[in-house]
Amino acid sequence: MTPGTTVLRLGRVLSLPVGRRFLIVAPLLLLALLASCWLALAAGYSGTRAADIWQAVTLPREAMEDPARMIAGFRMPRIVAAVLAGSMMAASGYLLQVVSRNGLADPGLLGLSDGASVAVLLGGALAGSAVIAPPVLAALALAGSLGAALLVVGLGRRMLTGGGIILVGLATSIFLGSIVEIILVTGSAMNFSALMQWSRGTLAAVDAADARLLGLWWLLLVPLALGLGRSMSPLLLGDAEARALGVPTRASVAAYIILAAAFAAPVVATCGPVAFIGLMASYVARSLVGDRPTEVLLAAMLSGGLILLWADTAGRTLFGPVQVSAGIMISVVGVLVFVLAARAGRLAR
Amino acid sequence: MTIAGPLLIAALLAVSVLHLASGAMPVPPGEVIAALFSYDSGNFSHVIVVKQRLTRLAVALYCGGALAVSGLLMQRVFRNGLVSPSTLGVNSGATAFVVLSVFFLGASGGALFLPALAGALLALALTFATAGLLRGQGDPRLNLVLAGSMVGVLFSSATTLVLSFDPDRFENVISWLIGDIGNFDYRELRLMAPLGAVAMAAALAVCRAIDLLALGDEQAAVMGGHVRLIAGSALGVALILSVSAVVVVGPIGFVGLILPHATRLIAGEFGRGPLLFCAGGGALAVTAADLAARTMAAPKVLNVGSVMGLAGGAAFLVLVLATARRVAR
Amino acid sequence: MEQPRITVDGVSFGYGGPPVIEALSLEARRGEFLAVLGPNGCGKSTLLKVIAGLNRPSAGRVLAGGEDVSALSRRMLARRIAVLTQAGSPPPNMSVHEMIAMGRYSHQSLLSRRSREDEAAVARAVRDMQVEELLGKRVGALSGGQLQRCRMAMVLAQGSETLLLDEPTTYLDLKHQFGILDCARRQARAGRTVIAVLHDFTQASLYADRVAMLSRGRLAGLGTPEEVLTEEMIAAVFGVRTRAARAHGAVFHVPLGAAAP
Repeated sequence: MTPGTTVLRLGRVLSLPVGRRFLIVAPLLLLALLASCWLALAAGYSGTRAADIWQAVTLPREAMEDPARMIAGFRMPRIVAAVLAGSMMAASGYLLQVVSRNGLADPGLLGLSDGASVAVLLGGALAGSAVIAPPVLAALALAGSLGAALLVVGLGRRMLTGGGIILVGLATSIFLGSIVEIILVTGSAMNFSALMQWSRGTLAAVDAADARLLGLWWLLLVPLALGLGRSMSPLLLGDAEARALGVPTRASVAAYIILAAAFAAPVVATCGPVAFIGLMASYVARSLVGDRPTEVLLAAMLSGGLILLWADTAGRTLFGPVQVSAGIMISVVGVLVFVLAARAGRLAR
Repeated sequence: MTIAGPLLIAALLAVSVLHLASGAMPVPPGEVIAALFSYDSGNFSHVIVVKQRLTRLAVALYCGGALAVSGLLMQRVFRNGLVSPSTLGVNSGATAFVVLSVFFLGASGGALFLPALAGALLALALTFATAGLLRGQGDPRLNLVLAGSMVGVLFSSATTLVLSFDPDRFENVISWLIGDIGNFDYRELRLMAPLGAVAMAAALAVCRAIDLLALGDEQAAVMGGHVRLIAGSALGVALILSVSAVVVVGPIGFVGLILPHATRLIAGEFGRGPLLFCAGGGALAVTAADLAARTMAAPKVLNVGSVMGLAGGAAFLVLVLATARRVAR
Repeated sequence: MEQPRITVDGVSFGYGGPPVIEALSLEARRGEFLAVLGPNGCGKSTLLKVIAGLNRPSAGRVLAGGEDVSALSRRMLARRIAVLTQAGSPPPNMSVHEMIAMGRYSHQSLLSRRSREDEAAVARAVRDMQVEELLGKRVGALSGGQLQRCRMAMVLAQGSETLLLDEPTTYLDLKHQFGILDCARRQARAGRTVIAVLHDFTQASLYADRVAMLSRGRLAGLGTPEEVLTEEMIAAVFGVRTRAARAHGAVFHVPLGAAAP
């Protein structure tokens, strides 16, 4: 048995080797996530009593008093959406990092988010003033994101297994990004700034339907990712090695990229293309639990949920009347802190 | 470069005349030339060509040349064909600091240069710090570009953040932000152009020293080159050029990325010729892009920045695919 | 007595860690070919970099023509000492002529164009290395041997009185190895000073006037090839038992096996 692992046994049916660090880290992260959710429920303009939150979480809607109903109606879906969206972006980012063997990969940098944005914006432009239902929007985003993924995989098929795919993604994202820009610019100046907000990612407009949508996708995709996870560790060794171990590298790389696109799409549709969660969460997860892919994936999803939740909560409460969108909080504060901290950590080592 | 030079000059002249001729009120090319050489202040189309369009043309020419040379210098110094003012995050950094200083200090015009330069420097430092995180994994040239695009997103988010504080105040900044050539940009150009001219002269002066760097740091040093000084001054010149362009028109991407490659293909890599060719090519590209932005979707006017982004993104893709193919072989 | 071209005077140097070179002293004179030999990691290349002013010694000093190397600007130093570094990454798109002309960098100011003197030096170097037919080619199109000859021409064009060659014959086939060494010796006979890091004892004994044997950063022996390249020295420095033979003015070493520790 490799050092630092414990085997979880469930009778004779199941025996699962698990890293000891993961056994410690994962519950702690989960605990932190629950505590953060509680704090986020309590944070807002109006003072909130613990009893209200308890009511909002436990009682059915009809039995609640007004403050609790407010919390259940507005804050709760937003928080649930933040956690789900954060974890999905983290999963998407980590899958891309495994595929490209590069720690900077992120759906926001590789064109997946931009593809979804273009589709959503085009849909919005074609629909004119009509409101598009969230599921339709999600489908549009998925189509855009998958389209971008297929484009990237197709163009970069010769360098699918090297780092080159990242550059193809980057180029695609630049190209799609300027289409987004053109669509934004051709609108009026008034909604330019609102669209800019959305194009950086925000949870301000998220409601219960969005949260439900995210939950549905989450339940669909996470088992798929965990199921595919077996071939991830050979991939990390490198192309030739993985093939020598019998992993069909090309097929699994393509599958991962498509899965990553599927993870990113509903998030873009509901919250806009929140960048960098995948990147930061994977980095945090790797430094917490080591490099067993399935464990990193789970830890990254937990950290991703935490990051987006904190970014959104801080953005809506810290700056008084101005609500700063979560995407901007993450890009500006999160990335700066992340780069500086990681740099300091590297120097200290 | 025997025939490429004259050809470029001819193309530049042709596109310039076209640029002056087209607009809301088309002026025939003959009239344009007449307006330039025998100006008649009573003739309305002469007034439009000289007072309005000529200034726009000057802005396009200057910014294209400055950004292209800036990109060329960066690619030479880092020996990396994928870097440029936009891909290293320099443009976004400068933009963010301009918006910040407009918002907090109420600065305007030429006073924006210094904050923009500070932003550019900060962005560059951050890009390298981020790329440093990945040392040892993957291709370092690729990591630099990834880090640059990350820093780019970071700074453009910061820009969005500041804009969201008070969208109304920024109404007139927005056209600048998306890299549009406005009618009044020539006022900044007047302040930046002398600086740009000095920087261009400096670039021509350090040209041979930069060629020396191509031999490798060690060989360059023992042949009499002060490697850090050369790289530092070339980078400084590159930053000044790109920041001066950003102050005038806002962040226009990809001129600095694509033109150096075109130059290498057509006019070679070493000596002063390619540098001049690159400047001319950049001027040509931005002028043509502005022309396209104005006429492509007429009567709707697109902005140069987006047109350049579209063309540049596609060209970048081709570049990446070509590079990868060469590597794979 | 004439002043030495290069004086290494009690020099120590380390890359931040333990010293790679310790209290090393030697001299090289006008018209001399000095070969530096020693096992891998003994500090040969480091010594060359110290002499070239790339590494600043932590103790002692290096004099070039009587002046402290660390007091000279890079440009002035390059006019005295030319260095052929171990093949780096030559720019594939440069033409051979452009590359050789780069050798004149230290003689030109920022704005001046190539002078007639520059042209003459380049022409001479091209003739010396017999690379006339390669001038129009791109560096990337050259074979290993051709590239090394062209790099040598570039270094010769520098016109410096001292030449430092760091393993100039590595990766070359036999003919080109001797081509480079022949040229280096011609340069020495013409009054230049050549200091070359070499691997091959036989080549060193054939071409060098004197041999400096380095072992763990210290000078293990210095003198004519006959004096230095002895069976005892090879056993002590390289840990290999050999039988030495002398023929045709060269010293041959036939390896017999690892020396007893």
